Amino acid sequence: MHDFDYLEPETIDAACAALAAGGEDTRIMAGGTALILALRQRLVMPLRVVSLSRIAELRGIHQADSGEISIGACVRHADVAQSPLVAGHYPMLAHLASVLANPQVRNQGTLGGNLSYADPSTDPPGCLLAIGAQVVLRSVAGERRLSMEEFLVDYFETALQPGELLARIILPAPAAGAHGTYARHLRTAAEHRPMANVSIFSAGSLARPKKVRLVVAAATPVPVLIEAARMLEDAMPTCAAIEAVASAAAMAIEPLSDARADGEYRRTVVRVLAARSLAGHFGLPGDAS
Amino acid sequence: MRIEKQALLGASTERAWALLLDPVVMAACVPGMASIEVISDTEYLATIKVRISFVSASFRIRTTIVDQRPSVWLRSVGTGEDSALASTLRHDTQIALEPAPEGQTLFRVESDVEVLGRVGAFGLSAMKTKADRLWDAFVEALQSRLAAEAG
Repeated sequence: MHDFDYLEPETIDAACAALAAGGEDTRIMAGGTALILALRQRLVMPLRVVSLSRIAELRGIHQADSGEISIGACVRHADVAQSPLVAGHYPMLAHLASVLANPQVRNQGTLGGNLSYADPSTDPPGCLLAIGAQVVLRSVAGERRLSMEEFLVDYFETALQPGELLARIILPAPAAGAHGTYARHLRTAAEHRPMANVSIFSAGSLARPKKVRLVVAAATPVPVLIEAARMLEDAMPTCAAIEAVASAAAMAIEPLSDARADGEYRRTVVRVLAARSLAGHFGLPGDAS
Repeated sequence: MRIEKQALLGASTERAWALLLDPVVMAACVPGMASIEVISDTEYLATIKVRISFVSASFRIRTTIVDQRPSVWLRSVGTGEDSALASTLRHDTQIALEPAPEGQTLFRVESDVEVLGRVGAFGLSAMKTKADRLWDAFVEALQSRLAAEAG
């Protein structure tokens, strides 16, 4: 690993100032689970690394008076999994955080680091998109708040601009009757990275949901919100409707096709996973294949 | 890594050929193209920056057209390196243009690309997918330019 200056600012403002001063040769480190590997392989050779580990503002999970839940970018996955606030209002996210990657990553990696890295083969982005989460970005120029759709730009690419860092993840105020399901497909039980995942988030009665958001991720370069899932809104979910939505989801995506799985296989997995997950979400029998 | 791509362009094969060999157009349409220098009628030196999350590579690639049938087909070979990442890239590429209905052109590319060195450690899957995304962005930029010309 080559030499670099290691900075440990104690405020977000100081971190932003260090990023602005450092330019392209500066990298941010949250948990470091991805960055340290890249440093060791000398895929990145920054002159400066700005660690966020001492910034108290980036930790903690709080609920605002508005009901929104704010998760600091440096909250570890294990903390998300164990948070009563998250488990109480968004159990799908707590569950996801409890199975993400492996114990080492869950106890070191952070939610903000995960989102900033923008690896498609991971769990949180799709779930947060389904929930309707937003992110707050900070720089010396100020603060901006983006939806997940705006933040997740492309394959390994986010809307983060040079000099900007992800400060918080905002979950919307819990809606009445909100219900979530997260499911993923691993090639083998020993694998940590999902080959495909689906996230379902509905509001209102499960027997007649007012809002349904279905997101497919990991099988695609960026998570995809499936518009066809809206056909389940304001109606009694049926097995036929679920099958139709699952098929539409599989056709709507442009699946990744690589050494882990080819595109058509991923498409099939998405259809089956979506059908099973929707059936489970709405309490219907169903095991499409 | 073998890359096979095709796209329909809204222009004649002659116009598409002229665009593909125009360094100004390529500089504007190829994602990450930082510069392109014309060495001769058949040699180009281009610097292309590619970013995957926080990892950036900047390859300086010398490409030579080794054979061609104007407006129909060409074969080019090239080598490049990113000295900071101790990585090299080699490509052997064939481009074919065929007339398609309604005055369009079927643009096909077949390329064998080798990436060696540290960048190779990022993994074939990631590089292949990134190449797919860059192709999509390139074709979109090219089509936008043709649409603006048609205007």
